[in-house]
Amino acid sequence: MAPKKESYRALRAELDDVIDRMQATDVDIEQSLVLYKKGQELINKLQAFLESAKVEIDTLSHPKTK
Amino acid sequence: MDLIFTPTDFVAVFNQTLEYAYPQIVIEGELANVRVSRGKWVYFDLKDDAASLRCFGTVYQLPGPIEDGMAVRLMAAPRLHQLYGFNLNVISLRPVGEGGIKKAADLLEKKLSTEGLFDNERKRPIPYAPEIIALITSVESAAYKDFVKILQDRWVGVKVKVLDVQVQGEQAIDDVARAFDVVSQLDPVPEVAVLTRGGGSADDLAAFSTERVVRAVAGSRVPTVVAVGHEQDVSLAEMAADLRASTPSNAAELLVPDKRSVREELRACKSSIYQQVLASVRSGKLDLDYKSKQLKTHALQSYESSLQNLLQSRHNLELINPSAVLRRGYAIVRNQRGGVVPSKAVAEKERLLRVEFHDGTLDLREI
Repeated sequence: MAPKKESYRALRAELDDVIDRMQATDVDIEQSLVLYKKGQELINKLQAFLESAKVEIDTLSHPKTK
Repeated sequence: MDLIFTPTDFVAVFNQTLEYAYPQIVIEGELANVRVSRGKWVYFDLKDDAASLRCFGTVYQLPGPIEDGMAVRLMAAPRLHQLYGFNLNVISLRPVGEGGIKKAADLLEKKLSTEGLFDNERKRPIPYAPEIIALITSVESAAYKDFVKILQDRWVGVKVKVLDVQVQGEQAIDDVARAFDVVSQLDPVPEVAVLTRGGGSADDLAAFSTERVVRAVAGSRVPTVVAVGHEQDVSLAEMAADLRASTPSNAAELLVPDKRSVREELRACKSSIYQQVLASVRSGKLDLDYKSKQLKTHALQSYESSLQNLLQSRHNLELINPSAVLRRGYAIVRNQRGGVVPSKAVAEKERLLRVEFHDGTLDLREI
């Protein structure tokens, strides 16, 4: 089964978390590099979302009163 | 010969005539003697300067609370009642004129406010960057075009489910209320419902201050954004909404981020995390240098200590070195075979002794 497409909101929340963790005082080089790689990956996904996603308009048929 | 009726017959014939000639009429006038009985039946007079007509209906036909002095437009069926005389039976009623509409809205506001419908505490947060939006508006209106245009300009990756409704007149009340019912049954359920129309006269916007529409907004299953394009006067539907927007365009602006700003933020973010990791590496390198220095110092100390030990050992060794002993004035006595003669007793048995001094040897024979 194909993985569920991540929403902008979910990706953004993950990125905010990575940034917070990178700014913590107790993070060592190794952790910092792992977080950096993850951060880059998330930013790339978000940028791809902005370039490719579309607005879909769907007018529903529902009975008007008259 | 005159036709002779009974009262009952006359009422029946007269009502038939009325139904044929005036199945329903529209009259505008001022309310007087408004009375509600058992919370259900409403009686009032509709009058002008010279005439007054008695009216009868139910509270469910009213757009909201009514009171004496309110100017209204009444749609009614004239009928002669067998016992109670002539009546206009209410079909629908709505306030008219700026004053009438405002008065009706004020009354309704007071009533619904008491129920807590406009309280800040009940307002739900609007989800950030919603993925599915329900849009309740007229697709022929400028409001629809404005909202969609701004949405498409600002953002991406959002589905808009549009419910096409009348946004003014009597029909709007029913349309909008039903639309909220439809939204609550959609699957997947939208994250937010937007109700919007453009500006207009007080009469045009009256539907947005009727009880049925306001309750539909307040009771919506999903958070609501209401934008009725009127900067100054706020409709009751806007007051009941979780978020009020000043115009349809403003509604779109409040709902979704601006992708241009987000692009900039992501670029800045990329740079920021790069700086962050650089800083981390630098501070890690400093740490490494410090540790390296410490290691060197420790190694040096270790080496010096070992050297000291070595020198001491060498010194100790020197002390017991035979050559060094000879130089201090001692001699080694050996026999002919080169073996060491350790004592006088052993020496007396030998015929030849060789004495080793630090500067050479001397042979000793028995005489």
